[in-house]
Amino acid sequence: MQITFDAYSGRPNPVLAVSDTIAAALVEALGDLRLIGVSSPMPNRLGYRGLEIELPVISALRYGVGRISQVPALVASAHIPILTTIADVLERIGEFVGKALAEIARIIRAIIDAISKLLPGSAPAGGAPTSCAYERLPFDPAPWNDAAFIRTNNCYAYGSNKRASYPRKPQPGIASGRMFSDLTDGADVAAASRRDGAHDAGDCLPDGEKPRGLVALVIWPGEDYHWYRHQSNCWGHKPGSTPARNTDESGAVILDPSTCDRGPYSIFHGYMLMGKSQRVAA
Amino acid sequence: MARRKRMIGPAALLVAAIGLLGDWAMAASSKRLGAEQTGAVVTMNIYSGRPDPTWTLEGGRLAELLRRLDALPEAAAAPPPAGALGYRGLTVSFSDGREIEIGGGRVAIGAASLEDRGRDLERWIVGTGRESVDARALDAALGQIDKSK
Repeated sequence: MQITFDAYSGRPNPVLAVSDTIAAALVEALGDLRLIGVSSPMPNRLGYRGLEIELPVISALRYGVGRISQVPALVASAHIPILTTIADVLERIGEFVGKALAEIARIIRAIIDAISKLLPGSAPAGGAPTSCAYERLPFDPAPWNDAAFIRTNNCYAYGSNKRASYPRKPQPGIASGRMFSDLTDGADVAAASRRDGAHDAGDCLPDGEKPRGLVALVIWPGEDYHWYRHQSNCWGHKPGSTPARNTDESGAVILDPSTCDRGPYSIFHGYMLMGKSQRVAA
Repeated sequence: MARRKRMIGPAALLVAAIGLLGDWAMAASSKRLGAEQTGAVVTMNIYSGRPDPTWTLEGGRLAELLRRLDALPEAAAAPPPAGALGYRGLTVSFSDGREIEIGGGRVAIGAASLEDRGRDLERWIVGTGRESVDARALDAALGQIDKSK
């Protein structure tokens, strides 16, 4: 069994080789997590893109899936807490039952480490999920869809988690005195948001900024911008005056804003952090 | 003083009469909306972050909008759900405060729903924004309408 961390453009990707015996037990442990049998396309970007898992023949037959599974980055990283729990449990059992389980736990931890190390700073400037601490709040659209707020609370209000009675849609940069003016690729919108208090994804916000949100900026070239916010089990967003939701244009729950169906918002600019003191004004 | 009053009186009456005539000429009525309208503001629901484009319909265009509205049949089914990103439809706000929503082949007037066959009314209204709205946004809206026609 081979687990390849699809991360590099020029250099060979890191590979973790696992013996067949251990692999069979490992796949058994991972089976319930639906990490195997996934074959989603990898995001088209530089930096860490995801895991490619080549299964032993016996495991592929047992689960009725192809031998090669592709697990995009955020799908894999979303499993880190579950993988950590499994590793903890296996290590404890391993002390009593035998070394094989402890070996599996070690491999799972290696996977976690590899995912964690490859995520931060692996994409172009301003553009990767972060190693910084942030809060993933539960997806709760009701307050945003209240008739008193739905019309003027747009994606920027939702992304920054600043619900208010705005007279019109708030815009990046207004609160700090200069609104964005260019919608070519998102750099100007990101700069305006930074002036309002946002940080690049690799530039951590202090604990005093809790709740801190990880947001993703996308661009409809020349026309508009849009934000998504990372939440407990998904990414939430509020397209203009429409209801807040956690689904994309195809109706699928959003697990990765860089690859989800975004309609005309074709440019994925990158990730940023927004904290409690983010200033948002209309 | 009294003489000035007599001179101003007829002039003021004339202005008032012209004003009333003007209002009468600009206002248009609709059996659907049940009140005379002197203007309407169209909002094209298309952007997520930026303010949506708006423009005004008055005079002949307002009358044409109301005439087209009155000609629409009642709709039986609910409109198909619209996408969230990109062009979603139109909101028309009338001078008496009433609003209608247009999109997906339906026109919602309060609880009532009318059928906009072929999305002809929607396309016509979008076309009236040609002088006021960024051409790319307008073409994106028309493209979306034609795609789902």
